[in-house]
Amino acid sequence: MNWFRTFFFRKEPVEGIALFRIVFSILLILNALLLLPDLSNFFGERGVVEYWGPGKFQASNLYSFFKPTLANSTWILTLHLFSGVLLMLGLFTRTSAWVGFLTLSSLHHYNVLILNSGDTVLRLVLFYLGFSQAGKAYSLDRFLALRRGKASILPRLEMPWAQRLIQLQIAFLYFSTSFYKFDGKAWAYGEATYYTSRLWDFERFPVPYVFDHLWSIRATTWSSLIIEFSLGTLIWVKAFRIPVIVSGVLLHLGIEYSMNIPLFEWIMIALLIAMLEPRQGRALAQWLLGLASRRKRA
Amino acid sequence: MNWKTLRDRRFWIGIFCVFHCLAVFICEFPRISPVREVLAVPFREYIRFFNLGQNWSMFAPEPSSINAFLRAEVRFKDGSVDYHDFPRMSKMSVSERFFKERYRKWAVDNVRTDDHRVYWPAAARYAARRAQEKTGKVPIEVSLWRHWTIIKDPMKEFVPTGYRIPDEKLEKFKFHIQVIREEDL
Repeated sequence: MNWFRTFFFRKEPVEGIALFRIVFSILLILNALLLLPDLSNFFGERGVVEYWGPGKFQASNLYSFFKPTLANSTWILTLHLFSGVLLMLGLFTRTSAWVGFLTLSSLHHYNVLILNSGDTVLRLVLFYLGFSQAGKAYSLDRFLALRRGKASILPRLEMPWAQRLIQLQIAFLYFSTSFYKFDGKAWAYGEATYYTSRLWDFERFPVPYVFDHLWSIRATTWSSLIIEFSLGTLIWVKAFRIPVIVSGVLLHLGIEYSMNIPLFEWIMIALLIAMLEPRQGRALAQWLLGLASRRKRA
Repeated sequence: MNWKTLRDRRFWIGIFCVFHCLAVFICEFPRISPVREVLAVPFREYIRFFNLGQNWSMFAPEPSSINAFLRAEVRFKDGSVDYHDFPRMSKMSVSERFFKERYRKWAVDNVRTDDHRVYWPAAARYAARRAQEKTGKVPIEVSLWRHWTIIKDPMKEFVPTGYRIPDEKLEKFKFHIQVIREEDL
């Protein structure tokens, strides 16, 4: 049981999860802003779906308590946006995460037909952030605690169990999708990216040569499968962690360039920050702060 | 186990972590088997109650091999007919696609398929309202059409990236007819 105790409960730095909180909440805000112009079409009575409310009571659905009307959807999305801003600033961090989870989950209940995997990730990570110590650094919560004399100059080490749950969730996501792909002929024969690059609706910027030759199509198909599988498995091996994360970032940047899947790839890249060991996360946060202050001085 | 252990919050957090991880792994792993269905029973309600369900298909097990779009044929009270295309990414600029992608998800991935027939009446009513806004006429019937083409196996027919097939050469099928009443508009 020692490994269990060390993994979930050995006190670790919180700067990494705080950095993740900031990046993640920026994406959360962007996601809410993207929904705003189409609010009435997606979450209104005269929209693309008709929602009559939940069949069974659900704790994470505000439409269990309020009628599914455009007026109610409007304040739910506004509250969601507001909670995203508070989460980014780190004010009432845990409560903001819970409110963000509750409001997003409610909107997901209303209209499941417009959701992609990025939406699922946002919802699940908000659930975990509600338990986390992400507000213990780079936050207004900490600033206020310092002013009241209730915090030390350097952020205290904390138990990382909520961050571990995020890591396990992300690893499960990658393992699950790669395992699922093992059943697919197009993935086995190395032809999957042939199909994805010929879906008209997903086209973004042109990629010369790569998707027009069988050898490079096979290389991109199999390498993305290997990277996804590694992000679910090899990432737990200390020596492979950074190379696997870097290859994951490159994979997602490649997809972001060639395919139109708004925010999804950026959300996945943000998640990879949370996959760093807490000490590595702190080093990244401090490096970014150093970079920012050097630019300011220059 | 003694009182000291039970008073330690790490003990309860540990139990929650194990329970949660088991729930996610057993309920959401993409391999359905009778054993899994039995094992999932104690966890299903937890996943549903807190909306922690997840599906990581992401081009799995096979990437889509269909280029498709939906079109509504709207019949008006005056006898005329108009066509309303559901938002089509391939007809939009790169920036427009970024903002409107959710319409593709709704129409092409979901409403188009027979599994989502329960959503067809709402989609037809939505198309009727859009058509009324556009023309000012009163719609009385909406037919939903799916148009599509299959991307063939590259070993049989390798087509270059960026190829297009004109709309009139796509397969098409009328899959739903909806009578529109006054209160639908």
